[in-house]
Amino acid sequence: MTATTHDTHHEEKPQGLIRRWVFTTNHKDIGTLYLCWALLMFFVGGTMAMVIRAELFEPGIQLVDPYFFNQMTTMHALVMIFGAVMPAFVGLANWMVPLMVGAPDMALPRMNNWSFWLLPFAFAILLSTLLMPGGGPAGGWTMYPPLMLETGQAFPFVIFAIHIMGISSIMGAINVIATILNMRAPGMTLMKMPLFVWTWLITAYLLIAVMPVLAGAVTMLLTDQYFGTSFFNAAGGGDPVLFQHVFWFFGHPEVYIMILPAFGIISQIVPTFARKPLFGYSSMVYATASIAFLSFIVWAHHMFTVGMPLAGELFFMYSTMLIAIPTGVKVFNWIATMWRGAMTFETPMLFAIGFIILFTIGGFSGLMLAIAPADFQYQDTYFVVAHFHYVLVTGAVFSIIGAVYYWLPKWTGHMYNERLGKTHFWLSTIFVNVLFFPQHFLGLAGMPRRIPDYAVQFADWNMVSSIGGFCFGLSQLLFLYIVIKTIRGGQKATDRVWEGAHGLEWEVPSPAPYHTFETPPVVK
Amino acid sequence: MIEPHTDQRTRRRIRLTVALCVLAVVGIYVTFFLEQM
Repeated sequence: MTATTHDTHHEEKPQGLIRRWVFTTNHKDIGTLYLCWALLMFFVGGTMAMVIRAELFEPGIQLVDPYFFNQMTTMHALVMIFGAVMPAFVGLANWMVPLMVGAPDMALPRMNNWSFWLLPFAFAILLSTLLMPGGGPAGGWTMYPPLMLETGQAFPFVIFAIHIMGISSIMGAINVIATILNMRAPGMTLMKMPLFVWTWLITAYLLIAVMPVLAGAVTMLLTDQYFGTSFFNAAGGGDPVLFQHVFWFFGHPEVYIMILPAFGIISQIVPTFARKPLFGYSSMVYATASIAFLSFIVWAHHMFTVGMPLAGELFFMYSTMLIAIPTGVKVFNWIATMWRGAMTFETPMLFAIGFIILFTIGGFSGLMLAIAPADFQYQDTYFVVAHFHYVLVTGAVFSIIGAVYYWLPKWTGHMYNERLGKTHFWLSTIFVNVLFFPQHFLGLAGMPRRIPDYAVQFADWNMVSSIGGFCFGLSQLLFLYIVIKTIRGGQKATDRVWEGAHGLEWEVPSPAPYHTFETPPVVK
Repeated sequence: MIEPHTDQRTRRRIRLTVALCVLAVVGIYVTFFLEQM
């Protein structure tokens, strides 16, 4: 595919901090805002993780009181999911989707601005609850009643913050859908779209479908607390288990909202550094759609121990196992793309290969958890914590870091320092495994999750895990240094940046001009 | 601001897409909420 024209005139950027960044409607500026926000939240959520790992460094209550510990686990999850991973992917979509489909901007630029600027308000509200009498939410990010209803004054603020985050996500998703469906360059048919665009289109549909479900669930919590309803109150004829069903009907697709764009990123990076076209493009698209569909019919595997009819347990067990098939197709296609390719191992490729191996480990432990009778043993243990951190840290977060290294030269016009990038990769990969792999052992040995103290037989692996956690956290400061150094200067990047890169985003100069594709390119 | 969509047909299609998305969001929210009442 080739682009025949693009305009790079009309370069003037708005002057002044407020006009440039607060009032911006430019997709690249808004993408940058989202990415900076996500980075900030990664460090905020990471600091909470350090508090958790410091407390768990040895048995006994050491540093924080148990109630604050529970606030940390709850807030760490909410901040990382809604403040870091999701905004990072939305930031990448803002930057790259218009460039990849040959559009001059997102379809709804003003709404794009609003989607972003809701986030700081939502998180200001959420984080402020830590300072309120009674502290912040401490019932876990899943907010199960009746425990969640024990939250003090923070309760309505948390519910309000979640609603605002949801509105922000829904508006972002509508923008992505409207852009991809209506603003593609002439000749850019759906089946010519880059995989990152495809995975984001499907992710946006998932967001539209499930964010209102979360909103419904937390609104019902609110009315149960303040307006005398009994949706989840057994004493009033309600059912607390209903909340778990509604929450996980949102929650499982949410997991895929955080991983499908990662699949798209890996599908961009691997062909570039293998110098081969992606193996099985159409099967990748269908596999993504299949995973999205399956995500709606597996939710109760999160609640096997709650007490379900046997037929239900079996249905959710087998439907969950089915997900391994389209996921396997993807892993096979990435490996087949690398097969006999002229591979080089620059930092984005290292993170992509790290993703494929480590995400697959998370996938396999997921398969173990899918087996209902086995899950009765694993439920609420550190095995579950190990599983979802492999999927979300070495999966989603590694893909985001890989994407930043891959596209940073296009954004800034400078190459990052390759030696430092590779150092960052190896430090991250070694320590993330030191951090999370021992948690499998702890979980299998019976250590429950969400506890500030534990029996002495879990002491050794907890200490190892905490050391891994501190080192992994510190390694990310190197990432911050590399990014800032690249923004400030460095070797000039070429337009194509990577020898094996293909697609419209590489046809525009580096750094990408403020306005691109005002005249649509023609894709052949 | 650069108007990213200038022709009337694209504008109409974008409005239709947004309307359908908003309808879906409101529909799902109301269904899940009211269905439990």
